[in-house]
Amino acid sequence: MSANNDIIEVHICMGTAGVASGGYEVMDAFAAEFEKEGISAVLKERNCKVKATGCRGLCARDVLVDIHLPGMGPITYEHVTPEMVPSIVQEHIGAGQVVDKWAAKKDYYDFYKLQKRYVLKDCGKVDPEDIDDYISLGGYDAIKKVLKEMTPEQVIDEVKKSGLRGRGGGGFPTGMKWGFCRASKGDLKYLICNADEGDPGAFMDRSIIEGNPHVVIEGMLIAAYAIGCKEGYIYCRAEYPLAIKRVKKALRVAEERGFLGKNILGTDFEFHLHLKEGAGAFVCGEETALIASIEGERGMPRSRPPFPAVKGLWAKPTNVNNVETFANLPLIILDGADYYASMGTEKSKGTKIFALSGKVKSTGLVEVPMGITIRQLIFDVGGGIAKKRKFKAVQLGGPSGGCIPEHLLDTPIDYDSLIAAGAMMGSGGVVVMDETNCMVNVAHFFLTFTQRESCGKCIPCRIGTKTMLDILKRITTGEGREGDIETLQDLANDIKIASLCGLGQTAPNPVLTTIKYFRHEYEAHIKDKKCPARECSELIEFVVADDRCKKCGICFKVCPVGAITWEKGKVAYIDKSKCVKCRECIVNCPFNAID
Amino acid sequence: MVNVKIDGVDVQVEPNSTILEAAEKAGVHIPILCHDKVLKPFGACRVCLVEVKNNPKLMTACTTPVMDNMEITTKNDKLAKIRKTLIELLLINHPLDCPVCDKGGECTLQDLTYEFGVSQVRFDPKPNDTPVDHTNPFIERDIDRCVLCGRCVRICDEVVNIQAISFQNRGTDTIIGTSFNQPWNCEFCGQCMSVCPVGSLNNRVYLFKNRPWNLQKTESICGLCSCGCSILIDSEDNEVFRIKEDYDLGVNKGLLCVKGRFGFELINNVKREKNSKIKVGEEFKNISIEDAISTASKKLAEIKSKYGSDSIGVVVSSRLTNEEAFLARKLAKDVIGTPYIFSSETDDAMPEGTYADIENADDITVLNIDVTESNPVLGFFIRMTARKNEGGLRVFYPKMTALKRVASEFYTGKPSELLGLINDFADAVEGKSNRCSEAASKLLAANSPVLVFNPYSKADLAVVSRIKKAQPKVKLIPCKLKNNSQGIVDMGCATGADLVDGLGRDKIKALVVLGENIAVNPGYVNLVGVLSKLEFILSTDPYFTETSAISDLYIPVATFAEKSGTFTNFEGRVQTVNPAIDKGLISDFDLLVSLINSLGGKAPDSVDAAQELIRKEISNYSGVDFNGGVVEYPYAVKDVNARYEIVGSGSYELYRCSLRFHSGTFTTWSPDLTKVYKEATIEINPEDAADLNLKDGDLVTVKAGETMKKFYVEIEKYNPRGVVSIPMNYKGTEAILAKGEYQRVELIKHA
Ligand SMILES: Cc1cc2nc3c(=O)[nH]c(=O)nc-3n(C[C@H](O)[C@H](O)[C@H](O)COP(=O)(O)O)c2cc1C
Ligand code: SF4
Ligand code: SF4
Ligand code: SF4
Ligand code: FES
Repeated sequence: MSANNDIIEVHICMGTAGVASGGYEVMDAFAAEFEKEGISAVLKERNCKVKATGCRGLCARDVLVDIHLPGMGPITYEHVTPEMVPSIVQEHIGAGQVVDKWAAKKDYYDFYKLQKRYVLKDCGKVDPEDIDDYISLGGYDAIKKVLKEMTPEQVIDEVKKSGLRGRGGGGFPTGMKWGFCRASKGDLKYLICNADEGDPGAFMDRSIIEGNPHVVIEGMLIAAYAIGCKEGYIYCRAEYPLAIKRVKKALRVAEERGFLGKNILGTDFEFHLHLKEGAGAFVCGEETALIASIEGERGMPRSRPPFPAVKGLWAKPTNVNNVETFANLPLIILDGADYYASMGTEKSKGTKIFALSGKVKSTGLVEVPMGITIRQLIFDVGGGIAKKRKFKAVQLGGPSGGCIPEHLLDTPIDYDSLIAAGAMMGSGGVVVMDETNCMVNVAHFFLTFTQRESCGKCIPCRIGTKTMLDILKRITTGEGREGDIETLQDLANDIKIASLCGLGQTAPNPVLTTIKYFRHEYEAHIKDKKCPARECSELIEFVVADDRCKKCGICFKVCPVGAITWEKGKVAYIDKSKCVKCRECIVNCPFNAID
Repeated sequence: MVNVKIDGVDVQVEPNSTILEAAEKAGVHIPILCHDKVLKPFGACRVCLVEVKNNPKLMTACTTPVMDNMEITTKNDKLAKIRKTLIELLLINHPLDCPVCDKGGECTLQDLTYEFGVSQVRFDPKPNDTPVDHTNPFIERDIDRCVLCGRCVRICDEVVNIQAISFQNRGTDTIIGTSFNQPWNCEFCGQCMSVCPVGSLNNRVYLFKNRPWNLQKTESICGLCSCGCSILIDSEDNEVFRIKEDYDLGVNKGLLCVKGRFGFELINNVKREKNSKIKVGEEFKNISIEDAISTASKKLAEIKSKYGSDSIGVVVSSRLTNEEAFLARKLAKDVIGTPYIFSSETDDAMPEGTYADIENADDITVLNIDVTESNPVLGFFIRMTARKNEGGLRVFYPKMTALKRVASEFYTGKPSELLGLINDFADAVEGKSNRCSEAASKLLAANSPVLVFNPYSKADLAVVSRIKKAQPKVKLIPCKLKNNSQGIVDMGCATGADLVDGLGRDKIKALVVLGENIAVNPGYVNLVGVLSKLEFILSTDPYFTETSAISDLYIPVATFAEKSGTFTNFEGRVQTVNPAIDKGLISDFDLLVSLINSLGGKAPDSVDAAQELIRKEISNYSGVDFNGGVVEYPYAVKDVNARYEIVGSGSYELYRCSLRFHSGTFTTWSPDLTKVYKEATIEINPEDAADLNLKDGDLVTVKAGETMKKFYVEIEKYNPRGVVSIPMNYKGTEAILAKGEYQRVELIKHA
């Protein structure tokens, strides 16, 4: 939706990052500016609307502000502060002159070029705290259509036909899952929205909820109608206060407007939706642990079968879907399954939102059609590797995903191809690594997270991941032994097969893929006691190589403890007795001259 | 029924069975570590993983339900490898102190290590080293040996419903403990310990005393209350080392209470008398058992010929076996010819409901009894059922009891109010009142209701008989007190003859007291003076009690662990008691045989022969299996006409309560139980205590009419304001409690 013709719209990004970067201050500055005397001369009879919108993905550049002038495409400003506001109002809004020095450049628009903003299309446009704004953009039309024109079975068929697969990680076909739950016997069934989002670095669900909470509610209504659920929960990560605040408000308003509760939209469809704050553990995102947590039990996964569709929350049939999955549903209903299924690959339809991070130029939230390659995602959308360094690997699927090397960069992004490559879609975390990343250390890093988050219920995950971590620690500190690689692989496989829940079943993935694709780095650590990427400080000699040193003296300047001596025109020298192995010199030496 | 194939063996099982259950039926062994039959499937240890045909994932046998035509493989190289890895992982942190671990020899971890052939561990050992916890008086907690199977946590939650212990922390930091690391204070039932597969929770009464392979196991029945729990008595050299449970034996599903599990040192107690004693002047003199028996029979014959056969009374304890009670009656009725057989039992209420009825109940009423305290294992069954049914449990009792976590309706209050409410409830069930009508209509609408009550309270019985008439479907469960309370009624020892009355009429000149400590029984408290005037008292008891002290002849006898026979529990179930040890003492049975024979009768010469006679003479025992059969009774409750009465005056209302740590004075001979609860205390609501400026452990005098008695104070937050309670059957309580079930008293604080 573009802005109304004679209204000037100012959209201010007010996601968590936007707020944190001073979104409210910028908003106040605009409001103050529009109150100023003589402003009518600037506005020239045009109305002006300042709107808080949700996250659009480029949080590193917040506060982002879009100016929609009638008859002119929107212009985006990056890193806006209150001090910049008077100039933007005077020059841009008043004189129609874009303030070039602050306006977003090509890389900003490139970031969006290959993206397909579909699920996120209204995030960044709609005011998340205003249900009328959502409705004006076609909100709640899908549930109206469903209630008026479709039987529950037809809804399930439509979702099946769309090919939608769960966005919570597993990629289970959503329509099929609903079918199971619908078929379960019982008057009382529960619907749960999984908004626990515990992957470090992932924030797609947060952005959707903060940016457009009503779309999630609408998606849940469609599911509740299709499955026959009367009660529902949004299980939201407690560390997302803004999301919680907005969900609370949205639930209240939606109920006031008759979208929730009894006799929804005048029909006899009934759905009560509650918010439940998460228990603060990654594993609580696992559906059976989540259910236990809602029941007030310790958030520990339970064995399946019985599956939640048969025996879930309080032993009643329960359907759990992810936030993004729900957000897809109004679109499928309104645009039709055929249109939806035209996006993506044969077995993975629609779009997927990723959180790009690590060593890429443009980090942030991106939404791309299924099926583009990993290369396109990193190099075209993300703008390639920062600091002119070389790409080394990319971790796909969050901490328990897999590490993909360069030669697999042309793998299309779809559920099955990623699994075949040893990674997974997961929740959509993408961490890019360059030549300065040690792959053993990377494996250690990710496993540290999953190991710490193990709930401790089952032996393979509880003790197995800790044992793997101990071995990795040994390797990165030069204590690696012959046979460690085989032991790691062997143990990893047993943990994957024997663990109770998805956490343990996937936690070894980063280790297995880094061994598979970067075995030589492991061997260098174990046999030569060397870290080729020079990241493992115990394995670095901290000696300047005469032949490579260009005598620039940068290392001398960055060393925090003065352990380096250097004179103009001379090779630098590191005094090992003073060196604290902080690696500042290594990171900063432009010529990789320190071994 | 569904068909499954396990390792090539075809079996048919119930549709909802797990793979593990099916395997058991097929005779295929699947290793387990975290699973326990009494608990819900958990699936934590992964040791039971099996392969299911056409399923790419391995499945845990303990949690996975079978499906028709499932084909299961329980043994192959892949599974063997995983199982081995799991054990290797557990052994990384395990202390490997097996030589000094009490569990050695019966430890599941040891067994699995051996079964899976783990001869070395690929990973570097990092044994834990945390101090053990001794805050629980009966259970040692050594978290270093814990394998986190969660059985203890689950049984305390699912069965005991107390949640005294739980998982603390996460991941590798997970331990089993109490919230906020508080001292481990709970019901001390030891269920957690009984299911621990390793040496993490240990029996402190048994700690370091023996090794399991030295112990001889004897199946028997616990002799401490009427629940009729099957036990295993582990003994060596005529000493009992521990009492263990066995899920597959009897009716109690492996559940025991603190008394049954930890009270066994009363059997070994060194204070047990070994010699018979005769009173000479004011002193007791040891005599041989032969002399004791002949003195007894001579004395009895003498008195009989001097004053007539009805000058002798026989008092029968509810702890005797059926066979002993049968002979006691024989001695009295047929040999001596006296009508005076006394016991503290009545035949007002007879068994009807069983444990199975509790499990299948859709509505349970617990009427005015703290069943967890009086009959702990019955209490567990009630809790388990209420938990499973998510309600359908209604309790009437002055204070909240341990049933509070699972009860859907709990009526508490001052006796003066509560008793009225109980009457209202009975009225409502009879359709005569609108008060309590909601509860009443639930009971009336139920398909398999159960009513649990105190058969020793006439007023309660009156209510019960009314309810039974109005709702005949209700199965009655009388909470009989002692291990053979029911059996001695069945053997004809509850004649209705009243000892007070009998002695009062001066007719009786001699008493034979078999195992009953009449001197501290509230019912007989006024008799002590009368007793001293009798010409002859013969008493038997495993211990030299207050009653022994006022006897002329005392004969020490065997405890339940030393004799054969049968007990009949509150369900009317007859179960066999087997001797585990021999302390060189005769049993009441042996004594009765000698007395009968020497007084001119003819006694059966063995327990078996006595059982033959019982079958012949006691009609409802004739077809019953003495190894677990249930006796049928002509009625469940008599028409009793009685009303609640609160006697005395004063500002506090007092009621009698039960105590699970003890069963009469008998268990006070256990040094371990008395460590936790020794003397009767008075329980007082905190606000009342504050008004009287009383703290826990202070002394307070209870004044009931003219009777004054001092008690230590125990603050009990669940007692309502203005209500105090004193436990029954403790030394020192009899004078007060004899006055009535409910009374008004004054409390006087000491300076
Ligand atoms: C350790 C672990 C953490 C998980 N965390 C999340 C989460 O934060 N959000 C989520 O939607 N799904 C999460 N899942 C997946 C859920 O178990 C479940 O599959 C998902 O919510 C189903 O929704 P979908 O069908 O829409 O994907 C997690 C799974 C595991 C094993
Ligand atoms: S795999 Fe890990 S997180 Fe999952 S149940 Fe087992 S210990 Fe808990
Ligand atoms: S002794 Fe009984 S009440 Fe105490 S923790 Fe163990 S199971 Fe629970
Ligand atoms: S203490 Fe024993 S029963 Fe409890 S979790 Fe540990 S090993 Fe299992
Ligand atoms: S016995 Fe089945 S998982 Fe532990």
